[in-house]
Amino acid sequence: MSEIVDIRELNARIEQKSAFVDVLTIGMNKTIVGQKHLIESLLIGLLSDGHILLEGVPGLAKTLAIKTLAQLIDATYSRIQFTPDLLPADVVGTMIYSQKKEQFEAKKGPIFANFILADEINRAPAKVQSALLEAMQERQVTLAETTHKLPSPFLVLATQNPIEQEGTYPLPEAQVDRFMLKVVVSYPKKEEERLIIRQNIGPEQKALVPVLTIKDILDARSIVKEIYIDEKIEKYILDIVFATRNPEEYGLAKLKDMIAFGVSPRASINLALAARAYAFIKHRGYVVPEDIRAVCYDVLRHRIGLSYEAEATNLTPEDIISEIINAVEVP
Amino acid sequence: MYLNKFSWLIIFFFLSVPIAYCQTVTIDAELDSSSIIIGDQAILHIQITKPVAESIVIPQFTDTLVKGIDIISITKIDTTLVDDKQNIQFSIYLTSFEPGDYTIPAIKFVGENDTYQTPLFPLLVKPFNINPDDEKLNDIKPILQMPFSWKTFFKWTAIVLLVLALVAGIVYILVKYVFKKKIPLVKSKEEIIPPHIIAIQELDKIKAEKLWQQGKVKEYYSAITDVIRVYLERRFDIPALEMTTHELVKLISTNPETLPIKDTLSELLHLSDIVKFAKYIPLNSDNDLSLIHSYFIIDKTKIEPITEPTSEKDM
Repeated sequence: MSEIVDIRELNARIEQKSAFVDVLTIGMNKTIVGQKHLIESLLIGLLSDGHILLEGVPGLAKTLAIKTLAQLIDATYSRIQFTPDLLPADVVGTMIYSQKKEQFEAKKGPIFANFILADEINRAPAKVQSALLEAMQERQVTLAETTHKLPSPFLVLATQNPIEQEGTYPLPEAQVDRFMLKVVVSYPKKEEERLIIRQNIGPEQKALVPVLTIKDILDARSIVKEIYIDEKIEKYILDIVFATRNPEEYGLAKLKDMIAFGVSPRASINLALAARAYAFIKHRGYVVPEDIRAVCYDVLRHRIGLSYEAEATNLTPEDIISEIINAVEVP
Repeated sequence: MYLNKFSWLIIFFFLSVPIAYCQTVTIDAELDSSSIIIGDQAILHIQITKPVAESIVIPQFTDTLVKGIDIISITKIDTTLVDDKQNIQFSIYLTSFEPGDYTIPAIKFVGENDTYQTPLFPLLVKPFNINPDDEKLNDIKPILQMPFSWKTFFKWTAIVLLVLALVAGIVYILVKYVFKKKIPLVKSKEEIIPPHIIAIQELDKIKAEKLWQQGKVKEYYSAITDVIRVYLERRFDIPALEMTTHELVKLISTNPETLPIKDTLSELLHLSDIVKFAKYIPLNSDNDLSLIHSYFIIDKTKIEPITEPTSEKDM
């Protein structure tokens, strides 16, 4: 019975503690019109300590979204424009000789911030990408012989442009897997775009005032970890993940030749983490199948390897995920 | 009467001529044309007449007879016996792709006593007459239309009808005798059980098992929602088992037929969700009410099967 009491108490606590989500969302909505899914994804990444890969054409408020989030949380923000001539030292920092002190000193790179926008990550060579991705994974950077911890929260938002692929360095599958979510940013609706025009040609808006502190985010993260995931939900996650590996076992034999490789165990972990964060955003102390559905596409789309046949028939990872969630029984 | 020496000589001469003639090997060769157009074919017919007892060696031919004259093929050797002679016949198909005057060389056949050979044949290979002033390019000739033939038409019609009759016969035999007992084409009346009957039977079973009374509340709600989802899937042909509560309620709201059960279904599924996924323990009255709601959902949406009259009295 003690567990039952805990769940009720947790529900009440989460309802109370997740109230800031609404405040944060309202704050972001003041600056960004539409892009509800992008804002939700940013919050999921923030609450579950995961990084996000954004894909969308230029001008869809990707930079503005993360900048606004950083301003509302009173956190540090860095933007790194990835270019072909960028060096790892330009990202993580380097050792510089100080004539005054007569010794080498660490000059920390722009990665030492709470929120990082790695703009057009696929424009930089592999060595720069791996320097960033290693820092994302390890949450620390080693300069000379000293290891420097990265600040917490540490959220990397990398962007990719789906067009203009010439002269780019596509991220290898192993590195893409390190992103918790891959969010596809779409164009705003007509009404939203009308508001965007009015907002941009009207009088300049007031500067944003922070509504949260870093401590609030770290506290919220610890509460998110307490959100209850039932065995049935775990089984549902496993069924979805295994359906990407052995589709024929779920009545999806037609997908067998379309999937070159299924998702990794990191996908299972991230599916559970993201679903928990989503439940928190929805002020719930437990995860329901809807939460899994809501984050499923963003967690899995960059982890499914398409076969040549799939590409030849213009089948996308989203199509495969749709087939899977329509075939796997909901608990 | 005695013959003198001269008379004996004359008799010997007349008797020996046919013997000698019988033992002669003759080679007859004929070229069917003395001039061809480049790429065209000329046929060299060869006939060897020899005594049966005598053997003769036919040479091995290569691809080229002489430079510029190629051998396309050689027909099979045809042997016939006429009296005590043997005729050997074969033909050599020749062609040339270089215009010019050629001489087909003598082909030698080695016999037991002598070597025999064919005569020489001249062969003129002519080039095409191309007029350099004529610059007009000719298009590919159109496909020739075959003249309509009633004979062909009736032949193919007969073949098609025969094949169709054969296939129909095989299908009939398979359906009539082979699959008759294995795959019934129409389900028997007993096998078609309406989904609401199955669902009610399942709910009765859940009720009898007294799951929540034994503390198995989660199992109780899982069983109820499974029955309802399966029922809705069969009754309305929707993938209810693969839909979340929100999706299912949303879909049910769009159908006028299911609108009366929308609120009840929503309440039941949402309560089940928190029991299944949040360890919520509902009140005992809620547990009973959930089962009542389930019966209500089925009752409101069931289709009563049309009963067929069983006897003349019913009619």
